[in-house]
Order: sequence, then C-alpha cells, then structure tokens
Amino acid sequence: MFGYSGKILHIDLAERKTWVEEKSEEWYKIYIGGVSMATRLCWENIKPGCDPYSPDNPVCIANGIFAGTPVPVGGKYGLASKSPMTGFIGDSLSGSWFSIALKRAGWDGVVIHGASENWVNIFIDDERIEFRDATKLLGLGTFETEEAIREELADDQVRSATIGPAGEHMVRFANVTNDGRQAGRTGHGAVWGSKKLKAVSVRGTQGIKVADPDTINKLSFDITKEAQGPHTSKYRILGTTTNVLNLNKLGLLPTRNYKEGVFEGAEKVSGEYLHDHHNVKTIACAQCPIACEQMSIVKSGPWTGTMTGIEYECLFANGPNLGISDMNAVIKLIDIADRSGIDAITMGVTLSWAMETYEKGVFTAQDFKCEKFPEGFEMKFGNGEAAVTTAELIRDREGIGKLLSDGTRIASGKIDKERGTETWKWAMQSKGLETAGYDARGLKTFSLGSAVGTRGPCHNRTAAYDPDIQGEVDRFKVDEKRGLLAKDTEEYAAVYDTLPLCKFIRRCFTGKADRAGAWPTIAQLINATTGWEFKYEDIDLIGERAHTIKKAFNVREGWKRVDDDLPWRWKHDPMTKGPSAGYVTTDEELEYMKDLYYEAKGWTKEGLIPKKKLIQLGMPDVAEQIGV
Amino acid sequence: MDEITIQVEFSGISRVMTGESGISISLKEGETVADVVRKLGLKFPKLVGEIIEKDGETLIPSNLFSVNGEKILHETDLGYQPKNGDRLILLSLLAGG
Repeated sequence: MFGYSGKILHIDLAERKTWVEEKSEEWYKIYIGGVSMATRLCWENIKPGCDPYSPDNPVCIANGIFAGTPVPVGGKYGLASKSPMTGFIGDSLSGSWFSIALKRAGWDGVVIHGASENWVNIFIDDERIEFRDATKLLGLGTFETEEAIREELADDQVRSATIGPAGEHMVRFANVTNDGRQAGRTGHGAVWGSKKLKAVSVRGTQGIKVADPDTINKLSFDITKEAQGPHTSKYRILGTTTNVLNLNKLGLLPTRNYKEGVFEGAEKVSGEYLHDHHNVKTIACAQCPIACEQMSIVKSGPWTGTMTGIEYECLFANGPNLGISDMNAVIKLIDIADRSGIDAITMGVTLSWAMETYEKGVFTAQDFKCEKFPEGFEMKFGNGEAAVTTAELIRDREGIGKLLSDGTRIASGKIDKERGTETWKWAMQSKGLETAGYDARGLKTFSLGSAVGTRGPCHNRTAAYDPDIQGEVDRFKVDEKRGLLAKDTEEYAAVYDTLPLCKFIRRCFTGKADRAGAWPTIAQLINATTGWEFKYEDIDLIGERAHTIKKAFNVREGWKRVDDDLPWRWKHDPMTKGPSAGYVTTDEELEYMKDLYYEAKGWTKEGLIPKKKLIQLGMPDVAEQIGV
Repeated sequence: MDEITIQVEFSGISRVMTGESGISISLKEGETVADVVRKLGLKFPKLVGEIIEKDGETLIPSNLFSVNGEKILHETDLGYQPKNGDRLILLSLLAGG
C-alpha cells in the first residue's frame, strides 16, 4: 500500500501492553484519515453509552493521508473520543510536526484504551513503545511539557501531543496541544486527564512511500507557488484576526455574550490594531507555505512580555464578547488558554456567561472570592483583570472556577437549580458546546448548520456561513434552499477535515474554492499518493462518509431530533444595534430548515439514517447497528 | 447628469494596502459597482493583483462589497448601482480560525 503503513497501534494503559491491527486497503478508501478515520476508530473501540471519563472511552488518533509528503498544508491529524462536553462525538484536528513524526514512525493511527494508575507519557519510538513516568511533568504548561520531554529524551526531533494543567485538573473543555497548535473544542484534554495520560511523544525515522513522487512534487510545487499569491495574502498579512472588523461591519461580531453584534471598541481589538501594535512575527505549521498565525506580544502594563499566537476565534471570544477593548488583556487571556491547554472559545464564552450572570444580579462579588481577592471582585463586562483572574481559577478549578470549568450548560444548570433563576437563557451553547464567532441571528444558513453540527455549533465543521456572507442567498431570510446548502457546506468541510488539508489552501488549486475548482486537483493528489483511481465523485463521497460516521456515532449514543437546536438567545432575543438588529431564527424556522436538511441528507424525518443509505456508503456494519 | 457620492470603507488587507480606512467616491448616476472597482484600481494600484483582478474590472474571488453592512453583493452582482450616501464596505472574508 502506498501512502499508508496499513497499521494501527493499540495501547492499553491499564495493562501496559500494545498490539498492532492491520487494516485493509478497502477500509482506508472509505475512511481515508483525519476526523473520519479517528471517528471510525472510536466507533470500533468504544463501549457505547460509556461515561466519557471512563476507561471505556478510547483516545483515537488518525493521521493524514499527506502527512510527511510535500503536499502543502497536509501535515495534520485527527483526534476523536466521546466528548465530555456533549456526550457525542468529539472530533478535533491539529497540525504540524506531531503528525509527520507519527507517519515517519510507521503508524496510520493510534488507539489508547483504558486508564493508567499513575501519570504516564507514552513514547512511540518507531516500532518500540515505552510507558514513561510523567510525574515530573505534572503542573507544566503545554509548551513547557513538550520542551521538557525533548530534554529528557535528549532529542530535539521528538514531537509530543500534551495536556497542560487544565487537562490534569479535568477542566471539561481542556485541549490537547502539539507544536503550539490546539486540538480543541470538545474536551480531549479532560479525557486524557481522566486516563492520567500527560503526553504522547513520537520519534519517527522511517521514509514514506508514495505511488507517484514526480506528480506529487509537481502538484505541490504549483500549489505552493499559488499559495504565495493573492489568494492567501489576507491570511499571510493579518491572519484570521481580520474578521473582527469584517464581522463588526456586518453586525455579526459577538459582543457582550452575544447581546449585540456591533462592538464600539472593535478597532482596538482588531486584526489591524494587533498587526500595528503587538505583532512579533507570523508563523506557520509544518508543511505549510502560507503562515497565518500572528505571534503577538504585550509591551506594557502588568502582563508585559506575554506572547502567544492570536486567531480570530480566540480574539472574538476573549475581546468583544467580554466587552474588553484592551488588547493586552485579550492577549493575556489567550496566553492562559494556550499554555494551560484550554479551549479559548469555550473559555471566553463561559466567562461572558459569568459576566452577564453577575450584571443581572445572580452572581455577586462574593461568588468570586479567591486567594488573590478575599472579598471577591466585580465580574463586569469590560473588566480585563476580573476575566484574567477567573480564567486562572478555571485552569486550577478553584473557587468559582470549579463551577465554570464545566462550561455553560452544566454551570447554568447548577446555578438555576440552586438559585431558582433562568441563566440557561444566556448560556450560548447547543449540545453542550459553546458557539463560535459568527452571530447566527443574521446568518440563516449558518443557524441551521450550527444546530445540526455533530460536535455542536462549530464554524469549522460547517461552512454554512459562506452562502450567507458571500451574498449567494439573503442572509436574513429562510427559504427552501437552506437544507441542501447546509448539507453541501458541511460535507465540503468534511473533505478537508478528513484528508486533512487546511481549508486556507482551497483557492490555490485553480483560483476557485468550489468543488469544481478543488476536487480534480485533490483527486490527483490522492491518486499520486496512494495509486488509487479516485474521481471527482469519490471526493464528494469522502465528505459524505466522514459526516455520516460522525452522525452514526451520535445516533448510537442516543441522539434525537430535539438535540439539533440553537441557544435560546438566537431564537428569542434579537440584537438592538447594527445591520443585523431585529432578527432571530424562530423555532418554526429552525424546524422547517431541519426538515429540509434531513431530506437533503436522505435521512428520515426524525433525522435517522436509513440502512440502505449506509450500505450504499460502504458501511454495512454501521447499518446493522443504527440503520433504520 | 447628476452626481452621487458614496463612501468606500476598507478593512483587513485593503486597509493595510491603501493606508486608509475609507474614501469618498463620486459616481455619475447609473454607474455601477464595476465602475467603483475601476476607480479604486486607478487610485490604489497596489490593490490590483491582490484584491482587484489584473484587468482592473473585477474583484478577486473572496473579496466582495457589502452595501451598508446589510446587503452583500455576490461576485456576480457588479452591475449593482449604488445610491447617494451608500457605504460600500470592501470585505476580504476569511473562514476558520
């Protein structure tokens, strides 16, 4: 087999044993890699219905088809477990050197079973697997843990995926981090913490065989050249942070816990301001010719010297969404998240829920008592110091941080039960996952894409904002096109998440980002890597299969139509300012769009998958278990 | 023929490349967004090849205009005729992050 080793490594933490599973070429053709293969491994190895923190919930890593080859932006891997945030599939992606090292070590995937009695660092040294005591690494941040492991092993080529203090403390929205990149959103760090798994380290020294090296080299050269041109200049110059002002001008920038979509301090926390006042340099993941991450530093005040990479989603969540227009505080908050291994989106949206809960008088300063502030503090919108202190309490699960470290669904449930309040109405979550940085009240297609997302409302798993924002449809109105658009955009995204390729390359094949513009080149890349004969329609199938296995996982875990929902605020509480003021997605509109969407997917009215459909997609065993 | 005045607002790389947050442009009645693109290309040559196609007539895909933050003009809507006082916001939209 070209492009793959054909081998999945299984590791049992409790028994301290390992074994190798060989997969057929047909299996790889169905599940490919990334989030699709990781979810399939989870499907095969989990005990259905298990507690996400139980030893029965495996950690599943699936490499990318292009990792370690010259294919630009192909150095990525998928990570899947049952999410402690949602109780459904938790599938994440991360990029850079870890995936390349794993590929060179000869493993297409890794499944980690059970739980360890003591803290452990698994060292995959090509075929040799070592269980190393990780006690000395406890308390270290994510970046520091990677460095400490390299030092311990006296090899600067060892790459590690790690958890920080947040994962150790089982903050429900903790991340796994490698090479400064985050496998975020769905609480992998907490799952690793529940297994006392501090890190997975890899040294890979083998070559990677591809079917047609000449074609791979030529295509990669052409794409790399194109990636230096106008299709990526916006990423290279300002990165994703440019979206702050874009979305503010459209009235879609989440402000003060999504109460509004226009922030009066947007200029001060914009990508443009960051570029002019805080930029240190722009950095790239391994195997990436674009380089979009804006390394930014605090130059004055109490957090001087704080430096981390800034993306739009982290920036909106911890800036405008908290009413904070002090970029120093925003950088500090994101730095706490990155070093502690916390999802910066959920952290910001949880902090904003706490601020609104304080301003509405449900929380008082007393609720925020801690060692640093024995009398507590005012958790008001705009108070950067209060946000920083609360973020540190979340990381350490101390004081109010213990409640907030479970995210807004659980925190609001506990508070409402205890105090007889309705704070759940401003908990910006669906399925237990906090919302992303596009206000869906002014984006009807995106509101559908958010509601039906298999891992919760996610900007990366659905690209349903594209037709809204690009003027393809009227973003304020619901019509019969939205079901098919939501289907097409989520399956389009699933292709990139399965190979995986970073979506920022999507205009560099032919200049057009749509299927016609991208699929022919992607098929050529797959064929040159594997020797297969994939055609245009096979690329579509990659996306449909990837999304289907995720949905199937959720169905087996008890998903029901009612789970495809939106936060209360997006359905009942319109914004009062800006171009998107006055709009919500009503329950009637949402249910109508869900009908359209399930129909477009070929599912039943209740959103279940027919057996016939699963068999057509090459998943007969899945059909047997959850097909209707 | 009557003249109208519109405001073109820049954000993201268009602001970096022009060094401006926005400019006023005068249009003859009946002139379209395509005419706005042409005028921008002439005033700010740096935009040509980065945001405006080399022909100076159209926007490179993924760059588009919003009218007053509400209506978003699809890349095929270059025939749209702005009204006096309109704000045309030039957006270079990104996905992900």
